[in-house]
Amino acid sequence: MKVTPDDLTVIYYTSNELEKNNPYFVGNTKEQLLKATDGLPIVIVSHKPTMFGDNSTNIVLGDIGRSHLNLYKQILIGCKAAKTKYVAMAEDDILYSYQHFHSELPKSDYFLYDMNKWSVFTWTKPPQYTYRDRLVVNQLIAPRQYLIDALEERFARVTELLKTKSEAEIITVWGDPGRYERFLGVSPRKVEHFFSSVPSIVFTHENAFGYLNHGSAKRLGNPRAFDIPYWNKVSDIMKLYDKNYDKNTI
Amino acid sequence: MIRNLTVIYYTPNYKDETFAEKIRQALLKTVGDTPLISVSQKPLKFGKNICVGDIGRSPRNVYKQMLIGAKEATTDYVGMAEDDTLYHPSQYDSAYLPAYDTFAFNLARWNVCTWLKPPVYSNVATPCNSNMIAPRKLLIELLEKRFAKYPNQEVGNLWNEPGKYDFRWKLGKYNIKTFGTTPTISFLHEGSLGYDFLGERKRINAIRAFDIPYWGKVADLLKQYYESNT
Repeated sequence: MKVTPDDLTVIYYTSNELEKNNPYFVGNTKEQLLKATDGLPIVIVSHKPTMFGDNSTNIVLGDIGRSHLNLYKQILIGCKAAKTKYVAMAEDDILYSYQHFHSELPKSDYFLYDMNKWSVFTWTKPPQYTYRDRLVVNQLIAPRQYLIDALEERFARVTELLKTKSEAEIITVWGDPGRYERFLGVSPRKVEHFFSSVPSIVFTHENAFGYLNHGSAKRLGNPRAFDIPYWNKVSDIMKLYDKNYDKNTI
Repeated sequence: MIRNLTVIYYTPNYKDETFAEKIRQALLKTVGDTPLISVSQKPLKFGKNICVGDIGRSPRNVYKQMLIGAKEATTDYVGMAEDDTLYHPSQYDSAYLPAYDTFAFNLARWNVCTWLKPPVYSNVATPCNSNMIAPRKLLIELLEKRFAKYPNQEVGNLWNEPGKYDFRWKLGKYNIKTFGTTPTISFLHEGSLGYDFLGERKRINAIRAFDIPYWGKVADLLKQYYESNT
């Protein structure tokens, strides 16, 4: 399949928190994202002004705070600003592959998740790639209007629920698009999976939003690996996260 | 020694003998004092051997040999071992013995497709006989039912992992559970049963690796077990 800039827009959403704490790493993930997207339009939805790439636009929301619901608000804003039929999500702590964005688009109204993604938990010694068979919004490719409809329905439902429940209670039933809709009380949505031929690398680190909930107790998945095709040795990949990685591990 | 479990090694003896012997020696190290029964089509000095003669290689005969081995064992459980697979001791750990009405499959499994260059592990997280732990009596009951009800059935998905399609063949519903340990490694090559149908087009999973914990680099593993045979 040939995916062109007329088909797909990348929605890059960030709280800019990681950029503040590890600009070196974010510089590397941005550089890789530009290689992977290869000219696809990018809508950057950020808390602070953020611009990279020649085919990008930036929507700055100001300091709205870092929360689960705000992450999805950013996605919704980005989707509305995009012009293409399809959108793909992108986060600032992931090394995306070219194949992730250029292999497959949904053939009808469903959420398409790329399941070929390895995680690297930055605190694991020795470092390992680890695989978790779980769909995650950062690997989502969707028909733009289908995702807008789903998120608008969710936020309308949240407004209702907030009359009797706290936000913390609500997010326990707010899953990635296509998950937990019946628990939230919104229309069910269809999900399909695919495996791109080259995986993306998802870093789990102390500045990640998920780390706030699970910390370093988050379990490694299975299978695990030290060296994988295309990305090669995990110890070298760790140098993209921490420029002093070798020195720090001696 | 793992009490209450017998390892059943079954083979049609089609593999290169040097390779097969290396795999058998590795299995001996893995199982230690655990009882081992081998069911082969040529005589083997390997555990307690039952030679069934040259009955031919087919999915149906895999289960025939499996049944003969299970009947010979006396323990409550049997764990399978295939002639192209490397096992970690945890495969047969008592922690993973299922209930008496359930077949258990270790989903931690990598394949090495020996024709791929450069060599690579590919992950296959689906239930497979090579990674099965079964209550012995349950396995005998199911396989005897298969052979009695379909004595002439040679092809079709009847000859698949216990519990997978038996309901469709009106043989009853059997429970399956899965577990994960240090992975097993299966070498796939022209002598593998699945290769007969798909050859080099056999679908290779996208989850791939060159170097994994415990087993190390795939190139080294191939050198150790396989390449000197070709």
